[in-house]
Amino acid sequence: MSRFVAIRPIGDDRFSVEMPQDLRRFLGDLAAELDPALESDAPALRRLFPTAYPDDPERDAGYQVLARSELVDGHREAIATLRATSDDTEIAADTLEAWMRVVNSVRLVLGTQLDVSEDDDPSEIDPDDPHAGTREIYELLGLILDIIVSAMMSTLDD
Amino acid sequence: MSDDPHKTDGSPVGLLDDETIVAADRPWAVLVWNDPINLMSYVTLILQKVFGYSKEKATKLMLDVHHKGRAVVFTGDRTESERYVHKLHGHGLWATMEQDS
Repeated sequence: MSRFVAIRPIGDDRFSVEMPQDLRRFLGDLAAELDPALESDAPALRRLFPTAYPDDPERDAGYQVLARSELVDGHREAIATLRATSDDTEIAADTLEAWMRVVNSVRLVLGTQLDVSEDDDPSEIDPDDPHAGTREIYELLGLILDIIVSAMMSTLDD
Repeated sequence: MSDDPHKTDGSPVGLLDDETIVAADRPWAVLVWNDPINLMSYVTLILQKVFGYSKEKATKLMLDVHHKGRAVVFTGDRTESERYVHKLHGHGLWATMEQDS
């Protein structure tokens, strides 16, 4: 993947993005699919809206009332940014952060659907597994995310 | 720190019992929990960005999360802690908060 995708800081809080066109389109499509799902009660979305107060359900309900809509708005904003910029070969740091948020969110949803565990070996995808396709997308997003994270980290102080 | 169990700690008497006063003052801890999905490099980056921690400190906390199942990444008052939990949730980290006991 790193042979096909490269994201590098180019100064002024901007990054260059080398990525095949079909992969750009694919990320835009995934983002578009996440948007309507945010309003649903699908169990696979639970990782996007975690509990803040596990010891205090009443207080947590209060947190969720405010937090959930703000989190949905934040995801929507990131999705819109990614869809508007997915063809760009140079993007601002804020834009890359939006890409990162969407890629990670979709990955969280897919990982929850797949019930991923710590012991899973990404190199062993069984082609007969009915979820093999989802698993491949999940692994692909992990590789892209790692490239984004490395690019962002290289601009931070130690 | 008195050895005398009957000696009071000087808290105002009558309005609130000592336990209530102490409970309100106890700081809150923000915890991040291990999960099998988030990448280790991603967790480190988010801790650096959200808290402004050095790479070294963020990496140490991430490794604590990974190996011990959870780590306290911040302590402070409730409002501040909740703001950080909310930010961490925005980045997809499994964060909770609890009052120190």
